[in-house]
Amino acid sequence: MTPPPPSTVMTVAVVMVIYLGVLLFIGWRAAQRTHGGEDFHLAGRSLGAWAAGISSTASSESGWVTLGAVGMTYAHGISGLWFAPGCLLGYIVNLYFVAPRLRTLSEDEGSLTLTDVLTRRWGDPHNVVRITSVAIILLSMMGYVAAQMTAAGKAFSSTLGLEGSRGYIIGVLIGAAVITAVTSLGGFRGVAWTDLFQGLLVAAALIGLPLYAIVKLGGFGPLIQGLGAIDPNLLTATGGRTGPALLGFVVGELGIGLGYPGMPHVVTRYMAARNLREVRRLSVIAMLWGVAVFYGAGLVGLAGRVMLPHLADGEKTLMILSLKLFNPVLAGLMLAAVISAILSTVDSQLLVAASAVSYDVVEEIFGQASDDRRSLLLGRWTVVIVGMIGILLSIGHVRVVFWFVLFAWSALGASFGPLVLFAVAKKNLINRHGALAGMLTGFGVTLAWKLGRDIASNPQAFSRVPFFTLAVTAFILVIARVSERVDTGDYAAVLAAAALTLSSWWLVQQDGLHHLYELVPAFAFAAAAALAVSAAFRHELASEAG
Amino acid sequence: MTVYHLSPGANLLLWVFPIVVVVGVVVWGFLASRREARHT
Repeated sequence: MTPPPPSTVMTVAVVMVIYLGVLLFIGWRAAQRTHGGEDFHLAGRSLGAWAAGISSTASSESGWVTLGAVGMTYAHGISGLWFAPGCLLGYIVNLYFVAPRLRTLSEDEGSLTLTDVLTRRWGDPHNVVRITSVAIILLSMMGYVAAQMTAAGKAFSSTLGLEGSRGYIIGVLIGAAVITAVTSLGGFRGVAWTDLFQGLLVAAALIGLPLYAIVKLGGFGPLIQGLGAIDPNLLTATGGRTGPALLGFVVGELGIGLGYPGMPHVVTRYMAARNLREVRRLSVIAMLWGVAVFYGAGLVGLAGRVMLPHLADGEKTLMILSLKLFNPVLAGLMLAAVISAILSTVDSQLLVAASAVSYDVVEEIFGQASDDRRSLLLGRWTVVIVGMIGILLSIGHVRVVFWFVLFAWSALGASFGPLVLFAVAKKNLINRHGALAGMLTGFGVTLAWKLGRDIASNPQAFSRVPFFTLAVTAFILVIARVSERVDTGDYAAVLAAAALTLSSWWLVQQDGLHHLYELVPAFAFAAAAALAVSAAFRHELASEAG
Repeated sequence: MTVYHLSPGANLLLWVFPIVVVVGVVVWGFLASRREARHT
């Protein structure tokens, strides 16, 4: 592709500067309404349906919706769309089952974070569940945040015409500085309001661009004929796959949806809604946004395959198609939408990671910052520190962060998803020992299974899983013994998680099982571990309560 | 010249599923708001 002329780059850069200015303005307005801890961590439970709904969906869909999802249909045709039902089924569970129940539960308990919900639901006298939950959130989120900042840096540097590694660093700093400022100043409200603005921009781009492209092609008929002429398999739901490969592909795509209930940066949006009426309205808004964005992204990929059939990287279809079809101002808005999808996720993750440290650890475990003003200051400074760590990781090109993006979705989904569903379904379905077993099992099985699937690229890491599992288990047990803050049920939870992690390490090596997306077995094992350990220690906890 | 068509599965994936979801969501929202209006 020939680079766009300098005048186009300049116009796009001006649109970008205006877009960043809007984000900062929204963050500043939100800061004026943020006065204390509950405001900072949960917008004072005052969000309307639009902000809570679009923020929940914009936070869950990172740059993959404007880049990866588009690339899926560009490469695989209609069969690349299987992610859409997978994601929408996850939306349905979250919006119609989790959201109203979690909103009520979190207010009844006075919980401000997802960790708070889980610990208050089943009790946590020694902070074992809280510490484990925070550790999993931080381990998963930091790599995720750094990778998103890297993606934002690359997008900014290419759209602003900044070249070389210096241009990349400036790109990272611009994106990260703006989003850290908005999150730190505006807290949850700033994140939700900017997400609303950015989520609407993403939806507008993913509705407008494919419609215009299809009209340019002459309608839907020519699009189908164009795809068929390239490869008739692009017009089938199987994409030419058969047998186990087809089953593994479809189960994997549908399995993406299992991750949604366990995303702390998504489900906290429901907790922040003003009331149950707003939750009902936000579920309609979020579902319609999801359909528009997923199918819009899919159609961009399909139209791009016909209009630009020889792209080396199908994930750049949206950006290249925008510059080809639109005038510089509209193209700038499209590119702003690509960056919006990234930034609307990274701000939410930044806030969740910071809340895990400032609220869950410093305030709840150490009992510091008991008044509202200190809680607010603590939250703001933690966002700045977490943001700076993310910037350093992304500028340092830490290679492992990209692996963490895919890992984090599965790890969070498996560690927290079953627990969120159990928590909102019924109080006594599981107990605190089961919760601990579920979290550790979800994380451990995800790690073992994902390394097993990636064995070709890193066989050494996979071979070390048993040693690593036993070492971590021994470390946890020794710490627990020395601190004398755990009881028998917690020991059983740790051992159950270790046994299931080792079992999954063995299972993934069995014939054909490495095709299975890691979230599916990890979610199932975590749910089973939570239920089994809870059942085994039900009577002990009942007598404790009595 | 060969004329290409979407396979039945592709039609389900591309058209039927999203239309069912959109209609379902809108109808559910409408019924829920009517129920809410009756209770208030």
